[in-house]
Amino acid sequence: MLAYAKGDAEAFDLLYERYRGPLYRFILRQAKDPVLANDLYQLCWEKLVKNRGKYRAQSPFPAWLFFLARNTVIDHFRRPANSDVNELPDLPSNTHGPEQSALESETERSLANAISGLPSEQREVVLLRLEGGFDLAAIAEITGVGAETCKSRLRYAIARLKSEMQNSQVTAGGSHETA
Amino acid sequence: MKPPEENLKSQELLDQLDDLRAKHSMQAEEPPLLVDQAVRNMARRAVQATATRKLPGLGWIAGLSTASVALIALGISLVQAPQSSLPPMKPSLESMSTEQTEFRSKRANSANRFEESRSASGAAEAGAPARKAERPGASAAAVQAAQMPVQIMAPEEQSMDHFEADLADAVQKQKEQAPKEDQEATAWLDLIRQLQEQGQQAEAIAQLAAFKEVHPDFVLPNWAQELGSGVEVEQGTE
Repeated sequence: MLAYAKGDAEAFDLLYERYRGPLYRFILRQAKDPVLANDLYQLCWEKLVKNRGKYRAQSPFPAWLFFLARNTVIDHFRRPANSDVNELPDLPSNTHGPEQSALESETERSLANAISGLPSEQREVVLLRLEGGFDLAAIAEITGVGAETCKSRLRYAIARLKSEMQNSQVTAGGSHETA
Repeated sequence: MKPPEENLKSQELLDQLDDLRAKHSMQAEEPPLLVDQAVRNMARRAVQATATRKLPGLGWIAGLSTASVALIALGISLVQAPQSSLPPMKPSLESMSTEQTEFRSKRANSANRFEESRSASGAAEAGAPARKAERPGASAAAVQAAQMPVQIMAPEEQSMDHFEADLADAVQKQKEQAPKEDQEATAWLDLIRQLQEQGQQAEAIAQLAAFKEVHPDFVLPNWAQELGSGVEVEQGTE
């Protein structure tokens, strides 16, 4: 990132290739809408390019990138014209077509559904771990809350996800048996 | 410093989440290619724009040019400042006439002083009547020259500099014209004096009358005044 800030365009390509997928999924699972996710994803990178001179090497680049992404999403949903994150539609209309969606496994959809159903504070903690690979200290820094608060949110989120997954497995098993 | 149990719990939580992810693999969505291209282009454009905007090592030129412009502006304002404090370029008629009057009075004073000195020295040289007659004529010519109107251009058309130059020219012309008239008048008076001495009184009187018509302001010497008074007396008796 420092190289890109100094004018090395190739350095940006390396950064982008490394973080494009995790960042996109982090935004997509919060926005719950691929079109909106595309816009927010692009806006996030624009912010990064504009503020490239402000980046300091003291903080890791992934933390800074996801911090920008989180703020972008929050800013969007805090606008008066938009509703709260928790009130967004439950499931995103998938980027793939209906045929590909039919091929998705039950477990993939159920985990995505379970994450989408989490409260926004718990969801962002889970996604920062799953997509960004951050530990609790880094998540606390990105979200701007204490480590204990993060841990508490994560604990509730995991309990809820487990419950949701068990329910989905039971439902899926029942449907198989009936079939 | 957190107790090890707390750290373990935190790590356990993260592990549990990772296990959950491993058991229930999620679809790995990726941004569309068009979005990828847009982001990459935007990043490249930003870098190129910055590179063209900032020329390395030439940042001081902007400061230097700004300082130069400021210095030039200051210099121009300083040069123009005295001109604004000058009197109006076209002096009024009143100021012009005042200067004319002063000039005339100075000329008259100098002529009077010249005449007085001449008359004083003329009294001492009583044995030279011809020269004595010449001197009053000369002084009269000087007075006449001093009283002549100065040829000055219309003040609306002349600046202060032009006015001073014209004034100097007029003074020079007066200086050149005065001796000529002086000489003519003196020569004429000499001729009248000779006629009188030769006994041609009538001719002398006639010439003096003509002289007065031509030079009405000329200050006549004593003998000419006596001759003129004789003429007037004769005319009065007639």
